[in-house]
Amino acid sequence: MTDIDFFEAFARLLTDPTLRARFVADRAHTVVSMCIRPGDDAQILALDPAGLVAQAATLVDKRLHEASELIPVTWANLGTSARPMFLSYAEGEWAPDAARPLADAARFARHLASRGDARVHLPELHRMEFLSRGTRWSVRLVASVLRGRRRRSLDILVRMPAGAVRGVSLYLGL
Amino acid sequence: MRGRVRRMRLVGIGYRRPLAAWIDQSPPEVDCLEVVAEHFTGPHAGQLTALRKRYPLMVHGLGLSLGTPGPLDARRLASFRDVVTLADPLWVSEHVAFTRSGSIDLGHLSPLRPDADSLAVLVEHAIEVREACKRRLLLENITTHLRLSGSMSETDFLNRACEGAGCGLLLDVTNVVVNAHNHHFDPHEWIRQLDPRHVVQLHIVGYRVGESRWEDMHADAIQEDVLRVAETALQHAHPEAIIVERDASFPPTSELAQELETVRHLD
Repeated sequence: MTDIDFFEAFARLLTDPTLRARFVADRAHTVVSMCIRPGDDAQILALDPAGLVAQAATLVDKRLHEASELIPVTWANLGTSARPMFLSYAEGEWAPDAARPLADAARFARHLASRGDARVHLPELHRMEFLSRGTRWSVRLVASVLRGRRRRSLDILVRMPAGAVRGVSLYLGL
Repeated sequence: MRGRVRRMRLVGIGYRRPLAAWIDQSPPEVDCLEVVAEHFTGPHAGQLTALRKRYPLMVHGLGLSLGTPGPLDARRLASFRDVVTLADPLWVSEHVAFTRSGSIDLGHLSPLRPDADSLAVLVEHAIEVREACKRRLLLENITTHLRLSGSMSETDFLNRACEGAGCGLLLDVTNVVVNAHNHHFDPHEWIRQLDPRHVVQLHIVGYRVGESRWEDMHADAIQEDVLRVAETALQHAHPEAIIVERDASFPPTSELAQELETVRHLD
């Protein structure tokens, strides 16, 4: 197995809560188990555990803030459970992605929807998935709450030549 | 456009969507705008053309990860360059940080070790970005809960990076204040250790007082102690622009306008 460098080891500690907890409890054994390149291992060993935990929390908090702004209706529907639910999702989800905020919001909403959570605002989920995928258009039948009543609509999203996104919702059975 | 050309130092704000309606009214307190490159890739790119007709722009990057060893992400660099082309900015900026390793995308900024190896990577990447964009590049200091030890001080590292890459410095005053509190150093003295010739732009915003640490949330009004540190920066160096960098919890625009005027009159 190839030894990992400082950046890889640091990133793993920031993104893997189980590994981080092991590091906080026993730095020396955890560093040995990570197979870090000689020289870099001493730098990792010197990391301040409390600072590491705070830095990791900051990274997830930044993502949480971005997601809350991208899916405001879903976020409001989740109420006080939004934060713990996002943290539970985000700590295990670090896939490389250039469109991280959009993809994060989409994955979080999809994660909830796949569990049957009716608080997900499906038009928002549709929009986030559309924006993060970069396709030209998307049509989806979605259900949402409109003026207190559950409605179904055909949501159409189109990416215009200049890059702007236009959307229309055709409500069914009004 | 009142006063935008005559003033020696521009005062502006980070362009965020909740501010769009206010910015559309051309508030006289705003001389210039800083746009985040990653906000204008994809569906919003067209808005840059309209903004640049009305304001001098700066393009600020979040995700080039200048500190990661190995080649820069070609796709991200191309996207950044596309935004720069559309914005035609006064200059561009990125952070002295890494946001990804070989296999993990952290999404946000984490610190570099202040040593010769990190410096070499940073300088090489900064030159590559500067040449790709054909614009002056500024490097920005970050906040971090982890202070990594290295063979040089952070200020020495920043001075050497700017010198080696032919870049300027975007001095984030709030980041200095937050780090100074969390890591127990004097922010005024830290700033005086910077080479004043490199300081081109300031960032300023309020900090958040957390349970055990201060946080750089970009969501609070500018506190007095931040203003005092900004004054130290202005006495030490002569930046060309100051940007109020608010990302969330936006107050009424009258308060933002007042904050810009407060910043304008710092000396």
